[in-house]
Amino acid sequence: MNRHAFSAGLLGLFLFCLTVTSAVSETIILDAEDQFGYARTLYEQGEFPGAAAEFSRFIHFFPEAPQQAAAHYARALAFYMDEQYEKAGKSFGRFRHRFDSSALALAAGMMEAMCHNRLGDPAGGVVLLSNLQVEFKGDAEAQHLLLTRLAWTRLAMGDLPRAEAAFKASAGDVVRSCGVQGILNSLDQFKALPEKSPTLAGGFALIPGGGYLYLGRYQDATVAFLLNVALGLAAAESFDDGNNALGALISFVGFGFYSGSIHGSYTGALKANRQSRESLWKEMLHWGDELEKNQSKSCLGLTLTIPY
Amino acid sequence: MGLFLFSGLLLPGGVGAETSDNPLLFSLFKSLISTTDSKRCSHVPSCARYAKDAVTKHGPVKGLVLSCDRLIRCGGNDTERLPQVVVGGERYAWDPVSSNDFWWGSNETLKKKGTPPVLPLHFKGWD
Repeated sequence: MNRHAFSAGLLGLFLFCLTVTSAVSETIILDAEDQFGYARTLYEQGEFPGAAAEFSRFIHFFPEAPQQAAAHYARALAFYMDEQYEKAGKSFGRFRHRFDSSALALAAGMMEAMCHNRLGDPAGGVVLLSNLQVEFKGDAEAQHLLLTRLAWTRLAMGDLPRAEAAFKASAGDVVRSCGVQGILNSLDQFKALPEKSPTLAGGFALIPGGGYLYLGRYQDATVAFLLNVALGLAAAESFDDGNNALGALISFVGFGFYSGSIHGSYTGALKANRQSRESLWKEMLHWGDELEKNQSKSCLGLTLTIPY
Repeated sequence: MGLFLFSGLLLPGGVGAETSDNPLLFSLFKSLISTTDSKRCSHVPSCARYAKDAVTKHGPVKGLVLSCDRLIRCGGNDTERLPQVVVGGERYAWDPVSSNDFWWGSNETLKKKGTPPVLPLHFKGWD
């Protein structure tokens, strides 16, 4: 009985080993197309870190594949979409040097400039775009895309007069859906915004509360007026009564409130101007973000899709 | 002598201060007045904290001007115009020192890489 059981056990073990061996020997062979396709699928599913890793794998294992340039660009794009702008900028930069004759070199340059924008350094982006303008001299389409990109970059850095000039120069053949006309209208509206003069506000504040009154801040004006008048009268009364020390102390505090109200009026005018302008500026920037979400190349000058 | 006493009141490290980093006036206000009349300031940072920051950043004279400016504005019209923040379930107006001394010359923070661009106060080319 035991001998039978032992034999059956041995037979079972043998069969198990056979199965395992066949399973281990079954290796998956990926070709360049499959690997690129897998990375692209991850990208399209929004799995950007995974896509970047798979594009790196493709670049490493298939160095002779015709999609090498596309894979490098796509990897940089995956970093960009994952908001790793520093890595993305470096990757786009390396792409431009390695594939300088590629049709994507210009696109990579513009994306690199965009990474400067995202990192809070649009001035760096302007320098790069200006260099690209020289590099692609004579290429009308490239010049147009660069001008469009420059307009948006100038807008991002708050250089509105130059942004307006660039938008006007590029708007001629930009499709209506880009909303460039809307941006130009907003810029006109921006110029026409009512402005409070900080100098006038400061000047009016020489009369306590006058500056705030000019700014339409009646409650602040009342407080400033009453405080300054009360402190002035108290100081004068103290000096009259021979309380020089108290008079000096009240005068010191009074000086603080008097100069404080002048400072507050001047700063208030600057802040009021900035507040109304900033909201309009942010609206314009928001329109750029919306266009980017729709991956509108002709409107933004950005190539935000993986080239195949 | 007067200047010495004044700097002792406003500058950090005053005698009897709560901590050696806090000016005496700030410590006295926080421990004696603020604790008894409850938290009433409509801004963040509070007026006392703002005054301390202003004096630390700009010295006693400019700090006094900034602090008095804030005291006039506290609870007034300016409160509604400033960006709002919620602290402990209550809305406050966000108004740090940097929101009021930004035009005093070069602001180092604006030059740092990675700081988002700000809209200039004046535009050359549109005049």
